Amino acid sequence: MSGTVIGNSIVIDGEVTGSDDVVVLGTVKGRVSVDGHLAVEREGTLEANVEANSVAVAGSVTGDIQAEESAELTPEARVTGDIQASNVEIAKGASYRGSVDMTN
Amino acid sequence: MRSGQKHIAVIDAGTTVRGRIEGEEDLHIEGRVEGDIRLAGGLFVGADAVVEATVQAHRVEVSGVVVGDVTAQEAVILTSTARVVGNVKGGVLSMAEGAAVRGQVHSAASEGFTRSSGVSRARSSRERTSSRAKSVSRPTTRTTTKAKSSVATSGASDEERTLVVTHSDLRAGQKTARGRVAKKAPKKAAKKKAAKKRTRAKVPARGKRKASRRS
Repeated sequence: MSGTVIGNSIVIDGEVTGSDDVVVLGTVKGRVSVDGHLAVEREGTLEANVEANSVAVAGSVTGDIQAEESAELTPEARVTGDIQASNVEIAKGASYRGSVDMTN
Repeated sequence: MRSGQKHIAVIDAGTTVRGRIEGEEDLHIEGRVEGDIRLAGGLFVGADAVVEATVQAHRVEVSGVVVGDVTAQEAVILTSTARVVGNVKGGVLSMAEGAAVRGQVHSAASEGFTRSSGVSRARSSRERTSSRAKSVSRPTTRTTTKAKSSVATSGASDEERTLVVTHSDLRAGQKTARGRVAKKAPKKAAKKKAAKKRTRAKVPARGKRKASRRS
């Protein structure tokens, strides 16, 4: 097993921290701070401020995203919040509201 | 990791979750969780995992550390590396040799299985069941709070404290089939008796052969 997986039916109300990669298929409310890759899958929902090495969103995120390296919003992504990352990719079709900060 | 693929929910070794976790599926914990866990599925606590949480799940399998009460509708399984500080309650319980538990252990099969009925069954005809024993239908209830509080503080003295509580149960005219617990109470009583005798011991006064009854 490598990495944390927040499964489909899992709801976490609180904070998730650590050094593992995290895949969110369920719901996390609160705060996510990981020293790895964070993937929010299509059915995943984050109502949290996010800090990670890199972030890929296919689901829904409400909260600020702060990525050390890159932030990626796939076509299915629905994101509301500010993004701060040196590399930001917002795919065509993604729904996004917020401000982007790409200063290194 | 596309959707549709079957995932197993995992809190991995490097991850800490603080707060409340709820879900319908199985969850494997290899890392650390502090708070509260409620699952309709199974919970697996890995050997290196530390869970400081109240745990409720359909089934709970522990190989690591759990500090908090564990309740499972179906079964609680403690493997040989399990360390649990808290009350354990499950439909069925399984505890491997080497597993450590500090707290009350309760299985569904023991519902309505009171100490008095347990004693009478265990000792059958050999022992009388005192009428007082019947009143102690749930002998362990009093331990609950104490065990809980001692659980939180931890330390070597906890075990002793728990034993003291057991004594008070035994004092209510109870005797158990279990040697360790049963032995203690009579010993205490005997000591008391001996002490009483000693104060009353009659020593003849100097130069007299008989101890006087007075004074």
